[in-house]
Amino acid sequence: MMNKLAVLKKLENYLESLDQKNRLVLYASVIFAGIILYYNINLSFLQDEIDYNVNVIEKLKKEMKSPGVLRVKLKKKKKTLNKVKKENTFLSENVKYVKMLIATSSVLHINENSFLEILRKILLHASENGITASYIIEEEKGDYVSYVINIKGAFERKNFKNFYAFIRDLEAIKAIKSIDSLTFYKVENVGFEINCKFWSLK
Amino acid sequence: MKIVYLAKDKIYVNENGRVVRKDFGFEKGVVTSALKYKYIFNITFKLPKNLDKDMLEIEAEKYIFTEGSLDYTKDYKINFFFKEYEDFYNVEAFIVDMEVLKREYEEYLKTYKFIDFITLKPFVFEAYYDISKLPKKRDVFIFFNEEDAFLSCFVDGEFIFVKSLNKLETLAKELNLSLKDTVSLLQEKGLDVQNYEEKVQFEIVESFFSQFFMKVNHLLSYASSYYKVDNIERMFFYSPFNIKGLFEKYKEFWNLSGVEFREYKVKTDYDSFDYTAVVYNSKHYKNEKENFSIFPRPIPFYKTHSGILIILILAVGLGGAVDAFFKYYTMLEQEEYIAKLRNQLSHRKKQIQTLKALINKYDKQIALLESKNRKLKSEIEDISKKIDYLHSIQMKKLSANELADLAFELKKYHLKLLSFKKEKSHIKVSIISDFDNSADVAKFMQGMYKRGYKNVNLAKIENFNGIYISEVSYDE
Repeated sequence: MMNKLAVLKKLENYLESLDQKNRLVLYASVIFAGIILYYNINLSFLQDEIDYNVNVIEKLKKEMKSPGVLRVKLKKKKKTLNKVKKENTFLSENVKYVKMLIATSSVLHINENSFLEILRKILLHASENGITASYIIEEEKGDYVSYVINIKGAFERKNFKNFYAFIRDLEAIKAIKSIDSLTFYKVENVGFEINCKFWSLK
Repeated sequence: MKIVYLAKDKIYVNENGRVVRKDFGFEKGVVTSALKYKYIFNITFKLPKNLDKDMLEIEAEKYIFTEGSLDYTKDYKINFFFKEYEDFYNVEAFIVDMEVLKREYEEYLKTYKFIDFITLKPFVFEAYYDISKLPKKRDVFIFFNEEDAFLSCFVDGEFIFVKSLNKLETLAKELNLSLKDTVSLLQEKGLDVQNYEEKVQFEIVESFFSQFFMKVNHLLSYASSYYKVDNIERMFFYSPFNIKGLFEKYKEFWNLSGVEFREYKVKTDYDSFDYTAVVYNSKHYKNEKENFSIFPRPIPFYKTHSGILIILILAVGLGGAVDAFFKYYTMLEQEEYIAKLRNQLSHRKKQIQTLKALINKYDKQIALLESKNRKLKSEIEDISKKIDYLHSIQMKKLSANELADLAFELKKYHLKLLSFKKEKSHIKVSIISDFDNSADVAKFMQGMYKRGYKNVNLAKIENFNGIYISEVSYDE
């Protein structure tokens, strides 16, 4: 304590011995030294670090994209997916149903058995109406499966009504059919040729 | 502001004009005192009027060190009072040996480390006018206690001079008594001859006071001649103890000389002089010209040169350190924030990656399903078209009906059919007619047209021996 006081006393005496101008120079030197230290430590080192960190923070903030937009997008995708799934289910069911309807329809679908039944009916109607004819059957496959029956024959003039009835009966068969060509001509008897097509979906 | 006055064994404290006496002890405030006149070496001298005012003090110092027979080996506290007269400056130099001062205040300084202001007791009477509210006149104040005896002269409230008077100890010596016994004698017997058993003792006392006032009278004459102070009007006598018969004996004497002789008294429960001194010091403690204190209050550390330097260094250092601390703290906070941001960023990136992967997965699923749906729709459309087509086939007019229409129209116009040929929707018929009903072919065609057949045309007519064969074509 005494030493400290002695040092202070010496310092005071020394400062007392200086004139006002030199004392001011000394005080200014202290401030100047402080400024140099401040510049070297606070500004050059610490402030540089702070500025660098500010840049890093700004860069990180820019990089920080909110996943909100993606979440919204994902939500929309989920919604779309559900919608498409529902549509798919609906369409699949529809296709399935339509196919089933076609498969079970005696009109739209002709299989071997049902065609034989048609053929039997044609022959029956021909027989009932006294029509004698030859039959050529052809199966066509494309977008549809169709059975083309070429009926060729002749009848007496007086039996025209029977021929008419035969055609009427032919067209009354429960199936999708079209008479693509019908020709008859009177010579002594009446010769005729009918091309009748029975349509079937695959 | 609190003014502390150091008196003998007591202290007086003046706080906001209220004076309180306390037992001696430490009291915070401006510390003041009044020095006994007996320690003062008072030199009165004149300086020429032609001197520059700035040189007065230097010349006065020269004078007292050359003429004042001061001991050069000693340190003195000297204060000068200059009064300007017509043809000279009168100088009252009050000199105190510093050793005497130290000795006098040794005991006080054990309690008080400093004394801000020490005046001289002769100056104190100036405050009497403030206390008593008496008009300021040409007055003398006589101070007489166990240790001191002096006369202070004031003109219109301004101090003029002070001179010493015969002290009590002189009387004590003559009476061969102690000071205490002498005081008791004066209090009990005073100047009344009736009180004395020994006439000799009375004569000594009477003689002392006769000489005492004789000196006062001489001093008044001296004041008249030297200071040009004529006709002193009032004389105040102060003594801490009562001198029996003093005023009775000398009042008449001074009245005859035209001087009002009064006891010095102020309205207080305390000692009148001490009270006056407190009031005086409260008013003058800032007056350095009459301050005899050599025990100044230590200059606060922050006002010393070393204090300023150290505070400056500390302030600069502290300023830098505080700034550095805040910068460092900011840096730490930033680093913590950066770490947090990086963590968040990494978490976000993972989230975004997951979300993108999910979106991608959903996109693929949607694309696949949409493709399937398109196929299904196409399939349905295809089936639908086929069914429509089949329906259109189904809806076509029956060949049997067409034959019936033909038969009806032919019969209507007595025409006969030779041949019938239908290819798809185009029909071609050959009709036989006689010459006289050949116009009926046209009617037949019109009839067919009316039945809804289109493009009804007569392609050719051939005549076979009066029999016409017409070839008519039409569309369903």
